[in-house]
Amino acid sequence: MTAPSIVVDGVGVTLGGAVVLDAVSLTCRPGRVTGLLGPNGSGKTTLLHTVAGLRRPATGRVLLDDQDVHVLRARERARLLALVEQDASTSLDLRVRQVVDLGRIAHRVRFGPPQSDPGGIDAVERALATARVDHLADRPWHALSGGERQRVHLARALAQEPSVLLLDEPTNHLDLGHQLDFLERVRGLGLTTVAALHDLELAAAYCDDLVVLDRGRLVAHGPVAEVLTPALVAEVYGVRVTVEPHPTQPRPHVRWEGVVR
Amino acid sequence: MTLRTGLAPVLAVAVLLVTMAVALGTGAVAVPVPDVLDVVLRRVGLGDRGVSLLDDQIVWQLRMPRVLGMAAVGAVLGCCGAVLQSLTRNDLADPYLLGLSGGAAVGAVTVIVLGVSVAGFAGPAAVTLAGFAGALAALGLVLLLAVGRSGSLAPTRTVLAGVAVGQACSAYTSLIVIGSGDHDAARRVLTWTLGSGAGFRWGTALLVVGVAVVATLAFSACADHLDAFAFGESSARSLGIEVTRLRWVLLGGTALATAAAVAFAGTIGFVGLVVPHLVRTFTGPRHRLLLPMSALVGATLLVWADTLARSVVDGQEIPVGVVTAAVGVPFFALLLRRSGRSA
Repeated sequence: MTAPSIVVDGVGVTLGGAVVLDAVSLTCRPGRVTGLLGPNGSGKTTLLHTVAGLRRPATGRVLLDDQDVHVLRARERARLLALVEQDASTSLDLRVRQVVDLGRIAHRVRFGPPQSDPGGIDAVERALATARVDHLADRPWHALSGGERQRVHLARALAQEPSVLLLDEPTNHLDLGHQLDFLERVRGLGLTTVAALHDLELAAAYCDDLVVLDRGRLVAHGPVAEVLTPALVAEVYGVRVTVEPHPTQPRPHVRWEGVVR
Repeated sequence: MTLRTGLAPVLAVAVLLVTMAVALGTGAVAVPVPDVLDVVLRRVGLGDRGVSLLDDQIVWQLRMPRVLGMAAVGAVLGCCGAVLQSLTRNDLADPYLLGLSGGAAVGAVTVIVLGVSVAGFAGPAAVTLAGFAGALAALGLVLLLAVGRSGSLAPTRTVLAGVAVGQACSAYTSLIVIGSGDHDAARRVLTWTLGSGAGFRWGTALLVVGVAVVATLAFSACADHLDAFAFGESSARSLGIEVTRLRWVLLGGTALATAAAVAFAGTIGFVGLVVPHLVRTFTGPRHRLLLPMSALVGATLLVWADTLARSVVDGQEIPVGVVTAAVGVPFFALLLRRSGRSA
């Protein structure tokens, strides 16, 4: 499948009686990067997990073009959508190449050997190169820095050869250089991408569209310039900002001034 | 140190075969290894170099069922231990995790102390049947408690339910043994609890060998799926694993295989806990190699332990569980020291 659009149609999720997502509807354009914004606890991770098919919504549905994500089998889903989770780590003594190879499981014959996925070795090498971790391939996972781990997770997701990439706060714990590098790399992939982000400046720089959640409700959705306004940031984050054209770049520049009293 | 994928199993099979040959020659009457080989070759129809009737009886009729049976039990315990440690992401998990040892003891003790017959069988056959039934009943109870109203099988709840059911079973066992006032019964119960290979005959040994082979092959086929749990449950799901179904199948499979092992050989501790940790140090954590290697190393270790148990003290057997603990504990301490240094 070439990069599909994602249609989230009236999705509602309740967890232990609390409404976590309330009839959220939105569309992510094919091949574009959509930034998912909102304060802590606004439902960003839940929405990503619902789109990824990990959580079945109480109401509504998620479509990739015309395909209902929650009707697919887990293996079929894993070949369409890849998810990079927040802070996923392991205590096992795995090497980088072995971690990336996990992305090939859904491409093998079920319960079959690695040989049942003839393209597997090439796909892993390509993914390592695209995420620029090929020089780390034989390193142990636990010897990697935070920035390297995140790039290895991206490589693992790419080894799934997905059409849709879902990223849950992928730039957490990364220094500025690694943040920019990571998002730059993701933008270049041409996949339909949804990334939950905290940093408004990064979102403005690397996303085509923005989705803003607040306490489980959709409060804004559209191109960056239309969504990222001082009024919206004040309402959702409780922070006064000015938004003005960036002095050297073709994108808005967000400058915070203080907490709304 | 990581052994090549192809080499490690070949080496492990060779070590297991040598171990079995030595074990077949060891006992009250020592049979030299070449004579052991002659007996085995003649019996499987690969040459007749003239063996004495006595050697044939001792090696083929007396010792072979026991050696095969214990190798199979060791394989089941090693492989199931590795599966359960990954599935629950708990380094302390062992094959008896789900209350199986306690349940089997309830069944066995009921027969040993109260002399109940099972389905027309009495004596050792009744102990086996009752042990198997007890293990399955305990498993059912654990799963019922673990699932509760949640409808899912969360690893932590499952482990806790296993502990609770195990405690209840041990209370019952103690009550029956002490209440009977029969010292001989108490001794027999203790012996059963610590495990023994003395009960294996050709028929039962082949049955358990069958269970071990099927279990090892089936679990090894799920190797990828277990690998996918490295980064947690939701990561496994997003990699294409049907997590809930896999958990039911593997918990059920390990429980059935373990129940069969326990029913014939009693509860033998430490093999299922230690072997996967030992194997991981030289195969790494990937299951395609870890699971078959755990089975082979478990088989080898238990055959050694059983051989020691029946030959260390002249004219008397010590329970094999005592040997596995005596060897397992210092070994485990060594592993802990090593992992403490690297962490």
